[in-house]
Amino acid sequence: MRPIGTLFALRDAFEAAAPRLAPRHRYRIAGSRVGIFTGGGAATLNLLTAFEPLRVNTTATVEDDLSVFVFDGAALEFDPGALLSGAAVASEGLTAAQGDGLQAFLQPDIGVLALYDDTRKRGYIWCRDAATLPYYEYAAPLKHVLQWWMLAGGGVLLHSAAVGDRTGGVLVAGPSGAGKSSTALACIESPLRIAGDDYVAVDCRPPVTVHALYSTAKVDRASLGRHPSLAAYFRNIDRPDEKPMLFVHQFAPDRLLSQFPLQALVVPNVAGATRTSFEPMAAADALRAIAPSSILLFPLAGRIAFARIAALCRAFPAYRMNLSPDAGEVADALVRFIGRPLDRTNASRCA
Amino acid sequence: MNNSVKPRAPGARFRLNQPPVIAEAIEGEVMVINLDSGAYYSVSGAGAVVWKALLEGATTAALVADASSRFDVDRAKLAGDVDQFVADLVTEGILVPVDDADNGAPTEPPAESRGAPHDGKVRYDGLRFERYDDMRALLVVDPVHEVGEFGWPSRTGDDAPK
Repeated sequence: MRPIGTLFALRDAFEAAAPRLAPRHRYRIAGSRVGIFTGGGAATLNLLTAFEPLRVNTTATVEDDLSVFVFDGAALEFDPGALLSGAAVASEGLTAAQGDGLQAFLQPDIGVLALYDDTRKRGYIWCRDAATLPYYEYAAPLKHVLQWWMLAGGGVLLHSAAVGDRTGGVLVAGPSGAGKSSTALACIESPLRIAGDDYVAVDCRPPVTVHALYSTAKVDRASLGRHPSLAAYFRNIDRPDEKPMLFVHQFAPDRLLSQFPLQALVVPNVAGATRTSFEPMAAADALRAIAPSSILLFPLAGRIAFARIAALCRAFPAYRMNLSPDAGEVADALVRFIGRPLDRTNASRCA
Repeated sequence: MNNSVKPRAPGARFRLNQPPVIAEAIEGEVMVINLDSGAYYSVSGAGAVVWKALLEGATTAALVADASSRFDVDRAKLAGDVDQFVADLVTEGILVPVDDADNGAPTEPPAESRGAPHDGKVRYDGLRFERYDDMRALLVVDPVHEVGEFGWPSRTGDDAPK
């Protein structure tokens, strides 16, 4: 059931192939030094676009806190997918396996394997053919490795948007379709800045801090009309079966925020209200709104991620945000909400 | 849910069905997620009190004695409700019986949760849990998300973003 030997063999095979990858790209992610090595040319390189605002330009020979190796299938002489799926538990074609500090997740349908070695703080991504990855892999690349790494270090990746300013901000969390992305994009022309529209990292050690991962933003096609000023920046607008997606740093880098102290949890609700309003929410209701999608989207993250999200819900005030359809009005309401005096002592109560 | 429940041995004990099932208690409620099925549950009120006692290792007999001193309910009715509640949680795959042969002699619950009288009884609202299935599509179709939000099935190769 737990092919530990297979995982070690996979890791060693990746390690043997790692020297053939291109020199590392360096990033500051969640306050840590992350080096990413890619092979396979432009397609794997494009996977790094979403991290661009976090790129660090340095030639210093400092060791990374996390190293991630991204392989394109053609560059390897073995098929990691076949190796893993032959040995591990398969569920609807998906395979997750863990043990002895190694965690792996195989998605045979899109041909992606993520392997993480927490002992060495090294992650490995194998793409059967990076040029054919679905667009959402470019929206949130390496997220399984980043989740396992964050969980090991006292944090968690959340299925959440996040907006604020340097003094503080809010997580905008909830299931798909609740209005996370729309709320984040509504802030793009406001004094608030965006740390993420779909996934962010949260360092749960006090003071609890929200960290940006991706500069991606997406909207439902039906909501495109709410953001007329952004129409030119959606990169896949002509692909009707994809959710329109853009990279904020490519046109508004100053609207991105790499981190902020957490003040509150906000659960959006597409209410069609005339004015956006905030209602206090019980911690248990917030946990029910926030936890399931974050937990179920990340294999092998469940127990620790659940405990961290529950700790956030216990420590921070939660509000249901009843959204109006007017993006400008939503942004104004959030500016007022985040600007009001908040109980900042909450930040020390978590974790 | 089960319509007929066989009374369980008064010494029966239960544990969370880990690893697929995870649970967190928060402000008098318990939230449970079944990672295998994608279903999640909320247990509140008297059910959350009984849940806590169960997971602390109380036998069903001990927790009935304790809860009947806390809640305004007939002890026999409570015993029947506990049997049904536990049976439903077992049916859902949330709890599994503890085999005492493997775990030594049954342990008594902590002194404070034994059947000592409590000041003033709390209104009893039955033992229930709510089940939510709105996230199951994440697992059934694609555990890696992007179901409703991105549209499934996934793209074929020729239209991925370059």
